[in-house]
Amino acid sequence: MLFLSAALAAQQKPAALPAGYAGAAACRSCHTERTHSFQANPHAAAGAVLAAERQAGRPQVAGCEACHGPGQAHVAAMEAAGGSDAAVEAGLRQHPIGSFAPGSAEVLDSQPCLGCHQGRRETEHFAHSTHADNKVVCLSCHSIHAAQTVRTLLRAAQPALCYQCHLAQKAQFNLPFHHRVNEGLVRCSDCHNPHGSFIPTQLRTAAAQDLVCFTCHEDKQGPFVFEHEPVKTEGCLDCHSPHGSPNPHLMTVANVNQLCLQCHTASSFSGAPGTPSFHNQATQFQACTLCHTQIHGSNLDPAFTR
Amino acid sequence: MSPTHKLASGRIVRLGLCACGLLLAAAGQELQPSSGINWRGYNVQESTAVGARSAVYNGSASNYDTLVNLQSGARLYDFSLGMRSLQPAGGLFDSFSLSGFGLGGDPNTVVRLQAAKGRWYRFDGTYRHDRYFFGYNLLANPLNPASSNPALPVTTALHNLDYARRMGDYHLTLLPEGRFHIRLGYSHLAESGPSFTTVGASMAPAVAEVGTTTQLFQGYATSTDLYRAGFDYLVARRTRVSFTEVVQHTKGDTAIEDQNLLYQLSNGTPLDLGVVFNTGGGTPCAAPIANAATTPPTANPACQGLISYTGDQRPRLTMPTEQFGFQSGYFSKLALEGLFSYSSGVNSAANSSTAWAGLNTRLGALGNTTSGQDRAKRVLVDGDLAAVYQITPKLRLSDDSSYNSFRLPTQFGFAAVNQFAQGGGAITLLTPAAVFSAATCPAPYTAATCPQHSASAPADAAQGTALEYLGQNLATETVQLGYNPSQRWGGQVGYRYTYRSIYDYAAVDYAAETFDPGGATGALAAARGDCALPKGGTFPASLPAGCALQADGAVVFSGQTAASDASHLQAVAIHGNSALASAWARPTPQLRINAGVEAFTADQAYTRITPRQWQHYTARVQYQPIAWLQLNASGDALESRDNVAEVNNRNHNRNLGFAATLSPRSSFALELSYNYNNTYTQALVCYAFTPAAAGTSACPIAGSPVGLGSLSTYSDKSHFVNADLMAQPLESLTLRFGVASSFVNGVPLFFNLSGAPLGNFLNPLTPWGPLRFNYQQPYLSLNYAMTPHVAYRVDWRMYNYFTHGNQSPAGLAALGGQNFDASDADFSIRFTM
Repeated sequence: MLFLSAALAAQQKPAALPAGYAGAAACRSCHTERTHSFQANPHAAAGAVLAAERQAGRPQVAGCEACHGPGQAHVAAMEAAGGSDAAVEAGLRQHPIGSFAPGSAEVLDSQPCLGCHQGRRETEHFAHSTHADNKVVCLSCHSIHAAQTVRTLLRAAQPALCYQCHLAQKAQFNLPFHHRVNEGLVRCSDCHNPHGSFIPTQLRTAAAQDLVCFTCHEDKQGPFVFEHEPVKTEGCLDCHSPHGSPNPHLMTVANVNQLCLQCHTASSFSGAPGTPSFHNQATQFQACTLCHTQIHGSNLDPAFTR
Repeated sequence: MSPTHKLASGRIVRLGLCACGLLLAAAGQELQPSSGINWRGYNVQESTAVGARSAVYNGSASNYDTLVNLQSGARLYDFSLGMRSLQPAGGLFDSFSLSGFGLGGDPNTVVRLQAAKGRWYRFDGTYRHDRYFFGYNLLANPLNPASSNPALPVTTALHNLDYARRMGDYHLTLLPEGRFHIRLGYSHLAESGPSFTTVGASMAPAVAEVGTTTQLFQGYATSTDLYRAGFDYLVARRTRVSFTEVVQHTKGDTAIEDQNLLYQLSNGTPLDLGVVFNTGGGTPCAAPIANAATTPPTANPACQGLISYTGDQRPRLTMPTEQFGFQSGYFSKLALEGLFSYSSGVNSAANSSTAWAGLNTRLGALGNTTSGQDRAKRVLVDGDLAAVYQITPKLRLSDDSSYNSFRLPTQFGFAAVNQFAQGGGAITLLTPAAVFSAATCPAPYTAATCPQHSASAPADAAQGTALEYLGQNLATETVQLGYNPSQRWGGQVGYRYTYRSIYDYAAVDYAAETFDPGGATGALAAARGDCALPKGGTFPASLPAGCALQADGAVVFSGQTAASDASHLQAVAIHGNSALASAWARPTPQLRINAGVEAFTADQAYTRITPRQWQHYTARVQYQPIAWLQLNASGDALESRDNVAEVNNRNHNRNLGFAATLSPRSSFALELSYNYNNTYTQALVCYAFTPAAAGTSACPIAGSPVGLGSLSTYSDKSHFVNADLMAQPLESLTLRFGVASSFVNGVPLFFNLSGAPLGNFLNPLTPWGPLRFNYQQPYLSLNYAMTPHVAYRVDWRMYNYFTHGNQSPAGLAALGGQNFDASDADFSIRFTM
């Protein structure tokens, strides 16, 4: 709101304000507490604001009015009110300023933020993100003046913030086998870009445009001489539940053999070979992965045993 | 509250904490939140929490370590240091922060460093270290029967591992606010530690497989270095182009070795009889122990076993990737962005090798040595383009186009040598290996010193190249029309077309695959494998093409094996169509409703469980009737199927969740949530089960290599409840307690074996495994601020993993319990500046 540092910079090198703007100093005279607490806000960095304004192609307005809009009329109305509540209310009605109150147009729209942030790499996808499609806007997750995280200005830290809407994922991350999101080792935003991506479910990619899973599980990335083809063509989710599972190794089913047999049963259209007759399950149960240990791919054996 | 009251309350609490064995310093200062100190032009804030943890657990230690793995000891629980310039421009940095948690032995350690100086630079660094322990013994357990003699249950996980993973990500942006940004980055990932794997049968070309399924020690070591450099350039108003070069270098240095030599031969040679003990079924043999009185026990040499097994692979991957991107808002109504990548890399190992010595009774083989060179190439082309056109303020059209294509041509040049036993009696682990030569094995090749070849024995020696190829083209086009008539509601409809084609081939090209003669059939023994005679054929006239009889009696095959397919044909082409719709509504500022559906249909599937149709329904409601109460509800249902008759695959995942958050005042908050999830999958599967059990049915799929088949199903239903209460009875005292509990009830692997004992499992001895359990995690924390700068904190958390059902079915050698309950208590003092 109040870009104090920008204002200070402006004081050092005065520049004419565009018509209708009052300047941050005018805001500070009434909204003192907000001004003080705003010093630690990343938006207080003058250089960032001014440069972003330049990038946005707008007048180089820094400080509160960069987000709240021109305030000269608002300031004049408040001065004219002279402390009368009725006059203040009347002045606000006549000369409204971006209030960001619950339900206001500003809160329901990401444009005030995207004016500066859309050009950033992290947020460039937002216009066609799933969140944007569902009217989950910037201020649904971020709070400029009451943030719980210092740098990203989130309303709550991950994963609690994400769990507010994604209730299923909260349950999944509390199952015995899960990625360590609750423990803080992994963040939701390590795998997903909440501002959107080219991939469904707003997934990120690994460095070489591979599945994001390979960012940490690089030993499954290959390329292998003998690829287990579905790993590359279907992805990891045919066999694993990514957030959490009752089953070890986040498998989609409890028994390895059931998982294998679902594909490795001869059929007219699938290239996956059927289970051979010497795999007699009656004499001795053996999990497929007892022999086929290199199931994600092998450099030595087409059956992934070494 | 008066200062006197605060102090009295503080003393009472401290007395309680002293009873816990900790003496704390007295407190008396006014309690105010710390705002740091100003130092040399910076506001500095610091916080450190140090203390110790007491972890006590009963039951399965390996499961505790797999699921929790918090141990006792002193800890630096967390720390943070923040510095912010008091002037618009600081010195080396305007802002600096260093924070982390979990130091001193916790399984999860994270340290983050951030620094920035206005328009000059921005640095983000993260270092993560985690211990990854897995010791859940029901997975890949051979379930040795109690009737075996000896009965040896596998009570620890055969694929036990204890890895340490270190991840570092460091990003530096120069001139972050300028028209021209420079981005530099480096990431490092290393994973290493002791682990175990298993080995059994092999399908590698010309390799005599081991006859014993056993556990191998694996010294696991792999690491990746990732270098990034790039720039962003603001070429026009709200239009940016970028280029990034990424170079990935990955290396693996994993070596494996058989250390499971728990027995000996009569000559004192250490021996591994494997991990599967079912002597009634002949594994490793009917009577594996010849003398149990020796140390270690002396094994029956007629058994299958391993005297040694080693493996070594050191692959190296270097993969550069170029990425070109752009993003533009130049036109007020049109937003454009694109990303195009090209990546090409080779994963190669100059000398991979495996070797074993022992006995495979089926093949009469005493060992194998295989070495070779791996070379796997990967080429990836990826392009994404998105456009959003705001037709009117209320109407917008968006289009996403994606193309992804990869090619994986690979090869393995190998040399394999197999050893076979001499004749003259039953082949045992003590039988010497035969050497084929004119002196030791003259015509007619039936001498006892000749290698004894069975009809299924692989070649004696082979040199060749295995060639593989996998490629996929994936193109997706999504068009959506959005209509937002007001700030109250809106929605969009769309259509997505997907085209996917997959190509593959596999071939083995032998330079020389040598089949020596020897054994009961003499010269004819050389006509086996790729040189086996056709039915009714005569030797050597009927040898298959590519096979040539040598002067020494050996038959050498060269060329591609019959099973090879190097035709590079398209394996499958899949056309998919999706209809998309979603809507949102905010009838009042306090109520938000979202709903969406996507329905997909395809004309083909690549795997049997790749759905040809699926529908995904989602709905979310958020309601805040009053400022301190927020209610959330969500529903999610994914229904999918590959419902052709020969698969009959159906799946669903249905989820329903509710949450309520109450925070009537800053000193009290309550959060309640409940979630229900139901997962179901079914598919027709066929398997070998001889002799057939009652209730089994024939595989209905024509051409199946195995005789039995039925519908396999899997179902799990889970209930998750969570309650979290925060209360601040005193300004200096914060209490928090709650519970997170999962209750899971499922049915695995249902084969309709209605007559089989103990239910309906493929193997009647299979325990319920992970599908019937309660996992409860109650917790309590107390935070007492003794001074504005010192706080004392106690955290207690309980973990209770309790499985239901029969964990030791009759007939199964006891596996040990899966349950555990643990109590972890953390005592810490936080210093804040």
